[in-house]
Amino acid sequence: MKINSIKLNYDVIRVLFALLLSIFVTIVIILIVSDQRIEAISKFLVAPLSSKRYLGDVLDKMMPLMFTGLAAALIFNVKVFNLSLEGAFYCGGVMASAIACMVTMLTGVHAFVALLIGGIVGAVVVFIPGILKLKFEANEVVSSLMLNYILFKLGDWTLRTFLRDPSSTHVTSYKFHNSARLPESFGLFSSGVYIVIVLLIISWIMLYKTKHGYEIRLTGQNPNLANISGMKVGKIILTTQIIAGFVSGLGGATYMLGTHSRLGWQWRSGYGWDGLVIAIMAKNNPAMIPITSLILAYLRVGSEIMSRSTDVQNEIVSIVQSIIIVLVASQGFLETWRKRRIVEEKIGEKKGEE
Amino acid sequence: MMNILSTLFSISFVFSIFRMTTPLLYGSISSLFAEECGISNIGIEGIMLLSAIISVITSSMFGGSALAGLLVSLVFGALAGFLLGYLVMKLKCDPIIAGISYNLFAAGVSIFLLFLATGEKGNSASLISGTIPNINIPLVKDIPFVGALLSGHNLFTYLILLLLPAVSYIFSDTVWGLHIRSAGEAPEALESVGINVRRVRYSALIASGIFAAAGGAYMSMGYVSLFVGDMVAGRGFIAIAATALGNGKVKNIFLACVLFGIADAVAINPDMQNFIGLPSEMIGTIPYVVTIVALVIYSNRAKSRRMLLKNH
Repeated sequence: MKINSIKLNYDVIRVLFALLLSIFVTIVIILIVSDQRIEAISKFLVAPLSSKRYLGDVLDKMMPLMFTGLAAALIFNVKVFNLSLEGAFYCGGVMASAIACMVTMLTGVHAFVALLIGGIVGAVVVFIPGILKLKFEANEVVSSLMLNYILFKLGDWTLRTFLRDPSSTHVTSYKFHNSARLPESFGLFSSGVYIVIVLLIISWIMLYKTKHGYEIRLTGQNPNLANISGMKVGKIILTTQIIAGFVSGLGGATYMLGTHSRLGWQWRSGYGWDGLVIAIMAKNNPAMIPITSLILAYLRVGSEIMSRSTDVQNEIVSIVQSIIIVLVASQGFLETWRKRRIVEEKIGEKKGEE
Repeated sequence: MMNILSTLFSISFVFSIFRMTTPLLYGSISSLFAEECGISNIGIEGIMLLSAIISVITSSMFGGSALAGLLVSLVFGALAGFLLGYLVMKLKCDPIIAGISYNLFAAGVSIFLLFLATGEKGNSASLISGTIPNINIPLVKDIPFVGALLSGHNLFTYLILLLLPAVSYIFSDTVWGLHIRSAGEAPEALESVGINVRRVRYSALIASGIFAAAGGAYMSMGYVSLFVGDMVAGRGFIAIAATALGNGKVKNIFLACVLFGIADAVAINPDMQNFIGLPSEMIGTIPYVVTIVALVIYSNRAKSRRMLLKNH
């Protein structure tokens, strides 16, 4: 019993340690480059707590992060590196925007259709590298990254050719019809949050409480064993990716209809990449994703406030992100500490028996 | 039709193929060293991007000396390669996740550095940075047509073309190269004859980092003479695809890079754009589409070859 709890603590401690270390590195960098050191550091670390509006910003940022974090967690559960989630999120957003501004439907139905199509487009996007890997054994890392570049360009073209509002001086889409927009909850955050929370609960139940989820996890941990046990490994891997793509595309659609009123030129969110960070921090467990999303959203909002009011730019968050994912993904990190704790515990047990 | 043929065979088009292929070659050799030693380097894109900004900034700090910028960025590349080895071998990080984190890091930090140096996030036009010179080859440049075709390219283009046979030789005939390949294919065998596998892998990854950094320095000091955000634009990943297509053989990697270089050159050539007649965004996808198609065809062939072997 004790040993198991050490292992669990160890995971939590590693994530916390990685987080603290990366924030420490960031502070050191701010101290080196900034002329407004104290202000920058305090804005970065505590400013999001200073007003209701900033807290609303954190919640707003959390929503798309939970979508892409969940999508990445699903994909990582089957141990493939299909990195097209960014493209799926983007396409989901573009398609939902197209439907929101070009089609008229009843209130409620309109938003539902736009979200659904956004999700389907996302599923199709992630399906492409998945099927190329399954049928032709084409490296999914390379094909999915290439696909992202293609989709961005096609999305730009779609906006410029079909959705552009000629009355605007910028290249931007027509205004979304109100019937397609998602309402705000409590005037604070987009109601898309409810969608993603439901998805997280369903995914957690599916992964940990159903046969299908067990198959997914076993396939990721030991594909050979899964294969011998008679599971259709290829099919499981592919369907999991399709579900992940749907989640990511739906995330893009929800984000667009919840927090925007037009699709802007060369809109690139980066949320697909953030999803990888969130999933890795959460150890691919949907139950942990709200917490890790909150951490990243908080850091993001803090860095944006900092970059608006001081000379330190918000790109500094990428340092935090990359340090966290490397350390959390490193099995060797803090391993000696874990082994020592386990050995101490064993010795303690022995002594207790005597 | 005649128009497009004359464009295809025009000297400026051939020059743009050379220009486009050069960074891919550096990236591919970088990927080759990593793949052969058994640790994939997905972070090539990120190393190239950071090297591109570092070389511009240090070059301007040293009064516009291209050499200074280049040297610092190569040192950076070596460190990045070493760090990848440390993360994967010592901290037991998955190499693909380590590579992803390199790319995430580079995407943000390159802009962060650009802002520190220039106060803006667009490009480094306000910095006076050096350029890697174009070389006119004596005698050759005076030969009609051929001279115009072969002379006047960037120093780094010639350098990588000279390095390709050298790299091929390293992997086929030198102790170091054979050690690297054994570290990838049969590390236990290498260990059993008393060779330190870790040290071999570190050396290969340092070489990988240096080549990637050279490709990045070429981007901001040769390909163009300034840094622009996200200027590597997936070339690091296309290079990885080229290495996969080349299947460990330098000659085939070269051919794959030229194929992608041509796709790039077509995508930016105005005459070709007119000829193809698609919107510019569609034409911009050509290099990426070609990469996916080539990857699928190659992987499928490799797969059926394996199946054939299995059945016999």
